Amino acid sequence: MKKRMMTLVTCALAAAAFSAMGCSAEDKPVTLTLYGDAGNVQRPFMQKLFELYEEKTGNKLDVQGIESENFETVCLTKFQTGDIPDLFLHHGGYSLDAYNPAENFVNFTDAAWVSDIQESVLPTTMRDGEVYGLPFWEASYSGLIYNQRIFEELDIELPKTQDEFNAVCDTLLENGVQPIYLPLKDAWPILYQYGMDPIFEDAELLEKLNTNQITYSEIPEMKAQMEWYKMAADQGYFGESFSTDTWDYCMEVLGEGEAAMMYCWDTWLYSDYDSEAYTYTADDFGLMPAFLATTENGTFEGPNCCLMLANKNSENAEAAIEFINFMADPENYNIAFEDFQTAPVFKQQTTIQATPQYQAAADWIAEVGHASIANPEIIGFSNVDGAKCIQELLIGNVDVDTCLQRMDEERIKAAKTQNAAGF
Amino acid sequence: MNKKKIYPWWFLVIPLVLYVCFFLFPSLLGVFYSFTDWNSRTMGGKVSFVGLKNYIEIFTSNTDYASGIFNTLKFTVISNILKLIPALLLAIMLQEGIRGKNIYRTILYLPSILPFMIIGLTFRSILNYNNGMLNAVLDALHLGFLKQKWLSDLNVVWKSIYGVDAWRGIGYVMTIFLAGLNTIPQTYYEAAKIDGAGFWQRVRHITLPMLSGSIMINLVFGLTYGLKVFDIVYVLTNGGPGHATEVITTYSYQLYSSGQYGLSTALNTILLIITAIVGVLVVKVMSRQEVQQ
Repeated sequence: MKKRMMTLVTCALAAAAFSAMGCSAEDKPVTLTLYGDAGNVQRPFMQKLFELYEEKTGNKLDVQGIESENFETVCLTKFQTGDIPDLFLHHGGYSLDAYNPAENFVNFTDAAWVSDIQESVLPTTMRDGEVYGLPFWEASYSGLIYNQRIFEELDIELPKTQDEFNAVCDTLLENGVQPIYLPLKDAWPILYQYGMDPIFEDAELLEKLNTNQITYSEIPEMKAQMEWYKMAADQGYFGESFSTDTWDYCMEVLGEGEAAMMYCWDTWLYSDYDSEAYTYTADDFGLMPAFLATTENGTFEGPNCCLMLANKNSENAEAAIEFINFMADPENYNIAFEDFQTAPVFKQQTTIQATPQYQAAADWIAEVGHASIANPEIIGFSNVDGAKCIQELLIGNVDVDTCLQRMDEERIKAAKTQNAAGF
Repeated sequence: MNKKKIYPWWFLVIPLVLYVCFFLFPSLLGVFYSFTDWNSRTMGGKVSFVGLKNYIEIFTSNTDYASGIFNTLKFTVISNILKLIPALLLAIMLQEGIRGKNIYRTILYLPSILPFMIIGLTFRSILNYNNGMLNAVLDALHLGFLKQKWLSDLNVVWKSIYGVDAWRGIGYVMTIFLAGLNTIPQTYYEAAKIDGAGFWQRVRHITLPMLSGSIMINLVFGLTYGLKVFDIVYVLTNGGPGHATEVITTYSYQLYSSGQYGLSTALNTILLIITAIVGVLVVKVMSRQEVQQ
C-alpha cells in the first residue's frame, strides 16, 4: 500500500513538473524596458498604444521617462556603460549616430511596414540608408503659435516680413502684452534650429559645414539670428523673466494671455495644451512662420519624427521587435491616433485629421515652409548644446561672436568624436 | 623597539589588492588615457597618443573649461567658510546650557541626512522665480523688491548654490564640532572662570586650540567634498544658466556622456592633481600641529 502511494505521489509530482515545463517561455509575459524623453513617452497616442499592447499581449512595459534637458547626456551615459534598454525612443537624425545604430539597434530595412511610411517621412527613419526605427509619431509643422484673439483685439495684422514682425512685437509691448514666451531656462525650447533650415537648405553650404570647410561664425545669417535673439531679449520681446522661464509654465502664460506667441508646433495645441483650464482655447491660436532673422519672410519647419528603436543585443530582442511590429500594425496605430490632430505618418492612417492651424496656414506653409535640416543633417548638431550657448548670450555672459564660436566648438567636438570626415 | 608583530603581514594583502585594483590602477589608467584621443569610436586598441592636446584644449577652448576649474576652487573655499564658521558658533552655543538644545541639534542635523537629489529638487522648486515659494513669501510680506531670479541671474545663482549647500552641510559640520567640544574637560573652563576669563576669552584660549583636531577633520572633509562637488550643482542649475555654474565634475560628466573619454579623463586628472596638492598641504599642516601639541 505504502509502495503504491509512493508511486502515485511520484507520478503526480512528475506530471506537475512536466506540465510546468510545458508552459514554454513563449507563454511567459515579458517586461520590456523603454527609455525615452519624459515628455515624449507621455504623449497621448503613446500612452494609448502602451495600454493596448499590454492589454493584447499580456507583456509589460517598463517605461522610463528621462527629463528633456538631460536626455542625451543621461542616455549616452547609459549606453556607454552598457545600460541599453530593450526599446529606445529617440529623435533620430545625426544625433542618433552617437548611439552606434548599426551595432546597437535592429535594422528594419526589410520590414513589411517600411512601405507603409509616407515618402516624406521615410528619410527621417534612416541612417546610412538603413531603416532603424519606426516613426510612430505626429507629423507637425513648427513656427510661431500666436493668440488670434489678442491680435484681433489690438488690430494687429499678421506680419509677412522680419521688419513687420519686429513691429508687431513692439505693438504688443506697447499694449502691455509680452510678445513671445521663450522658456530659456530649459534650453531646448529656444528652438533656434527653425531659423537654420532656410540657411542650410543650400546643399553646398551644408556640405561645406559637414566637412568642416565653414563654421557657423562665418555664415552671416547665423550671426543675424544670434543678433536678433540678443536684440529681442534686450527689447523685452521675451519678457522680464525669460531667463527663468520654463516649458512647464508655457500653457499658463499663453492660456491666460500673458504672452501672445511662442515658438512651437501646431499639434502641441491638441496633444498637450489644456483648453479647458485656461481663458484661451486651442482654437484661439493660429500658426505663423518663425521669424528669426535668417530669412526675410520667416520659416515653417516640416515634421520631425521620434523613432522607436529595438536593442538587437537584448535578451528580449524578439519581443522588442514584436512590439515595434505591433505599433506598425494599421489596426493598432489607428486606435492609438484616433481623433488625434496631425498630418499622417503612415499611408493607412485613417483616424486622424489635420489641425485647424495647419489648414489655415497651408498656403503660407507651402510658400515659406522648409524641411527640418539642422537635427537630421548637420553633423554634430545638438539642440541643447547650442541652446546653452544662446542662454549665455541672452543673459549677457558672452557676445554674439563668442556664442557662435562656442556653438561651433560643441558641434565640431561631437563630429570629431564620431570620426566624421574632415574634422 | 617592539619587534613582536601584533598582526601577520598578509593581513595587508586584501586591502592592498582592493586598493590597487579599484583605485590605484584605474587612476593611473585614467592619467594614461588623458594623453590619448580615446573616444566612443576609438575603442578596441585604436587609441592614439596625442600628448598634451587634451590639456591644451582644456585651457584654450572657447567652452571655457578653465572657468569650471576656477568655479570648483571658488566653491571649495567659499562653501567651507560658509559652513565652518556658522557651524562652530552653533556648536559652541548648543554646548552651553540652552534649554531644548537636543531638539535644536536634531533639527540642525536633519538636512544632512537627506539625499542631495531630494534637496536639489525641493530647492529648485522653492527658488523658482515665477512660482517658487521664496518669491511668493517675499511678495506676501510686501518685500517684493527682494525677489530675485535665484537660479538664473548671474549675480545671484552662486549665492543660491552656496546657501542650499550650507543649509544641508552646517548640521553635519556642527556635529563633528560638538563631538570635539565634548572632549574638552570642563575643569579648564572652570579654572578660566575663576581666573576671570570672559566668554570670548574662553573660546579663544581654550575652545579653539582644543578643537583644532575637529577643525582639521572638518576642513579635510570640506575640501575633498568641495573639490568633487557635482550633485548639488547638477540638480539645482545643471551648470546653467548657460555654462555659468559648471564645475570640473559637471564638465567631465558631459564629456564622458558624449563619448569624449580622453578629454574627460584629462579634466579628472586635473582634479586629481588639485586634490593631491590640497591633500599634501593639509597633511603637512596637520603634522606640524601634532608636533606642536
